[in-house]
Amino acid sequence: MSNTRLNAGPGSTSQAEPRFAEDALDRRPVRPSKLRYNLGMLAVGIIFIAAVYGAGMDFGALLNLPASIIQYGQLMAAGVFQFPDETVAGYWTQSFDAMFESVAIAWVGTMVGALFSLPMGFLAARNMSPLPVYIVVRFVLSVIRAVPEIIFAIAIMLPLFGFGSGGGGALAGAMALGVSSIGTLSKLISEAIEAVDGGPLESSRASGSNQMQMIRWAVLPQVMPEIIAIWLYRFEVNIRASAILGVLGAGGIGSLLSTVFGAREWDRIGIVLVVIIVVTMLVDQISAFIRHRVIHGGDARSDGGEPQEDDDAPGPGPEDGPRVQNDPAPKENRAAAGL
Amino acid sequence: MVTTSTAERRPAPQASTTVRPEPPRPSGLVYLGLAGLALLAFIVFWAIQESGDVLLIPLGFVTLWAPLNPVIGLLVMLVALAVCFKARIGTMAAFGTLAFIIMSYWAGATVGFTLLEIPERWSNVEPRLMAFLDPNWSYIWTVRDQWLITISMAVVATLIGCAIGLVLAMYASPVSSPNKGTSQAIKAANSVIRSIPDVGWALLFVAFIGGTAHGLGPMAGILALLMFNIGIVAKLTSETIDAVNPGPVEAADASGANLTQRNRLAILPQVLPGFVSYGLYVFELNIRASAALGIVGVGGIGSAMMLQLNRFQFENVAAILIALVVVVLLVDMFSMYIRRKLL
Repeated sequence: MSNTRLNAGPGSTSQAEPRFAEDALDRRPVRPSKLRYNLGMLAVGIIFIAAVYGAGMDFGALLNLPASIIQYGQLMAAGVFQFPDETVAGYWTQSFDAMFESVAIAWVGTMVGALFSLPMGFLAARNMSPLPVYIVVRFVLSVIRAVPEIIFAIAIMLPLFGFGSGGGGALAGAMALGVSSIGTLSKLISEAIEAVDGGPLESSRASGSNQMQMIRWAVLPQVMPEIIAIWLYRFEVNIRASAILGVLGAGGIGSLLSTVFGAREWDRIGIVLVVIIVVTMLVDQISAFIRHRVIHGGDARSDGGEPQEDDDAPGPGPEDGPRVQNDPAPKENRAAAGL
Repeated sequence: MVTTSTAERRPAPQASTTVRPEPPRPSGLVYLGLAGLALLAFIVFWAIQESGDVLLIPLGFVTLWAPLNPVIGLLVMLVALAVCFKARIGTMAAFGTLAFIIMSYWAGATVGFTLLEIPERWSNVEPRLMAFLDPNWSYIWTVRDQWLITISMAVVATLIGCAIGLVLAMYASPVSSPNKGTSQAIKAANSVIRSIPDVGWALLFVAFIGGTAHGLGPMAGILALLMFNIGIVAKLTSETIDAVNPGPVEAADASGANLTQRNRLAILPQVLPGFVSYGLYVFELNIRASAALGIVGVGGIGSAMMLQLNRFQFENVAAILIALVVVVLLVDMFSMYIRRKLL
């Protein structure tokens, strides 16, 4: 009997009777049918070909692409590596200025989003708010998430705060990013709140706390690290998103990009791209470090005590064990990617 | 209230005062250092209020916009530090609070944060909002060709981008890559790809292709979306591969599989559900992004929208926007359905 079990393989140890081949001596399980898989692949292939025709792609354009990439790439590299005399130094300065403005836009936008997303997240969490509120807030959030940032910028913020880098453009961009951040941030925060450990909630209810006290003492301490990580992720996303608003006239790196591309000044384009890459990667590294610190490092969560240098050390404290049950990576990844 | 049974078991502390463990007092010296940091930030803000130029060593000067009233900033920082000290918050958290305040103060000054102008400028917004409340419904059907192009672009970019992204992810994760050097190099290349925003890619490809005789078309848009997708899919999938169950991988190694066989048979089946869900998610992002990329002229619904916007026909823009929201919601529901079916 045990022999049969063995032959049946690890997948078929359940109660269901394993299916065997006709030959009783060859007791290997039958290969599952691949028909559905193949049909699915076929459907994907048909959709792909249809889409290639539907988009009306011009493959002739691809022929010249490598040559133009090399040609323009050389121009850009020449621009980046030329000796920074006064004019070129001015280009670098301008690029850094615009990039810093983009970072500031993203920061203010994230703060505006964070300010609104915390209460909205609580309202959109099933275990914190009554059903009608939950449904309405969820619907509003999914509509906000479906609208691209540029629409908030075009429709409301740019006419409200003005255009241009010096004028209200930067503020308009920040507000548009903030409003569109609310949707994603609140959704992720509400998911974090729904995944909260029920023990502290029960004990705070048992000791007679009202809703606010329960949120303050039982929920917030559990979710705050994750919420801070989500906010920081959104900050990274917003830096990239601010570029598209800049093209519309909201200041920052996007305005500069559209200017230099409009003039086809390839040396300046190269400089701007290098500045974008350097600053974005730097901010990403810092933010990733802080996120890691906040989620995994014990001292960042108001435990007091001296900061530990290696936050991968096994013991930030035994009481922190159950908090970080599993790495919330996939959910945060989606935030990182710009949901 | 203490129940009698516990009171019997444990002698109650004298009177009714329960002795609670106090959180440890944070180091005052470090807090003093943080106050010094606040003072330093104040001095820097004060200094750049005067000149506005900060030396960037090899390249010249960079202007940092100074906050208007550094004194208020200093007061806010000191009060926050005092509150943190009173609440016995750890030094790292206090440092984080301080950094947050400094960053916000700088960013707010840079974008010129003010809400005072809203009432006087509201008249600019009102006609647009009115137009958005009263969209030109008949216009929706006239741009169906553009919708077809947008969705086709998204499909093509998603499929190709996911395929390339999967290969890159296999090389980027230390679990499945041939050696550490390859994985580091691919990771670095991927973070460069990811750090250029999608509109940057679109402008680049419009410039590359637009210079030829072929003119603008969906090709530049597809290539831009492709790069954008490769970055996202490769990053997410490689992180999924990092967290893969090592059992099957060890089994494949033990039975003498080479790298391709191991990746194909031990890793791919484990990451496939996650990979499919990232693909669907990227498809949704693409539809939204292609609306935005119309600004730089890459074809699809976005360029139709920009055309109407430049003609100040907000009723038509509103119609496109509403259709966009509906399409994105539909795609969202569709991908949620498939995800539930597959996972």
